[in-house]
Amino acid sequence: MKKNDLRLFFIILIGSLSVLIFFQVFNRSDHLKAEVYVQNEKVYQIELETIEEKYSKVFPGKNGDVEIEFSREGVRVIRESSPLNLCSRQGIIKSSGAALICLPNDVYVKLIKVKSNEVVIG
Amino acid sequence: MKKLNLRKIIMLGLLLAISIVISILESFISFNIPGIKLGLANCITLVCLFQYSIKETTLLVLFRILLVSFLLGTFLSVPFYMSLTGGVFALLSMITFKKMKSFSIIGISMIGAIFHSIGQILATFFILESVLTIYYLPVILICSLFSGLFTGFVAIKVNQYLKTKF
Repeated sequence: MKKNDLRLFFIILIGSLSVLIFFQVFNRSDHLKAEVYVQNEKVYQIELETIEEKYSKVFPGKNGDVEIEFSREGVRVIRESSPLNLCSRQGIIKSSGAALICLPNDVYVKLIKVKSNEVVIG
Repeated sequence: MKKLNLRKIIMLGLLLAISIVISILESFISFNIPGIKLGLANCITLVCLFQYSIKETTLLVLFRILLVSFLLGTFLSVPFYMSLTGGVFALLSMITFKKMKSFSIIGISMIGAIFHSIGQILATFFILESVLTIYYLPVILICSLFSGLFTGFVAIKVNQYLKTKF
């Protein structure tokens, strides 16, 4: 192992960790909003704080229906059709900036923080 | 008349077959974060790059991506374009940095893993037309570093074995 290998390792590690910590510190919020995009078009949004009981909604994906479950704790994909089923395997997302990306279905869900005076219509 | 190197043809065929099997097996292993893989197939690319020429390594990578997509039924779909972009980025970066001779096989493996991830993120960015995927880059880069480190060590061992046995 050469010195340059170690330099590369630590530069990328420290750089990536710094960016991650920056995202975590500046994206911390109790109020999260889930936005669902189908073919790059926002089709649904909900503030997680307003959810009393978890529910699921079906969105039309390229390979068939994509069923997404919304709860106070976060959002997850419970049913979809794709070769590797990556987005349903990913499980629940619960922090700002996190996303569920179902590429084969061209559907994605992102969680963003909501300002306190922002009104969200579900 | 050009002499056919039978040993070389057999070795390249074996490397291609091994990389295809590894790629298919890896597609069944989930790490709960999209785009995260161990990248063991890249180990075979590294072995080929250090044992044979750039032309042979390029052919090996392209055939692997093509054949794996046929076998998994993802040809010309989103995962195929992601694999192709990632594979081409990794290969070009490894060839460039190998020529510079500033990194060992482990460093080149890490560079390959990093550029593979950057290629995949760029492909996703153009498919989704959203900057959202860029948020994943730091996480994926950290994972790439460790997977590159691991595949680099494996490639060293495989290279040593090939030098002593063949």
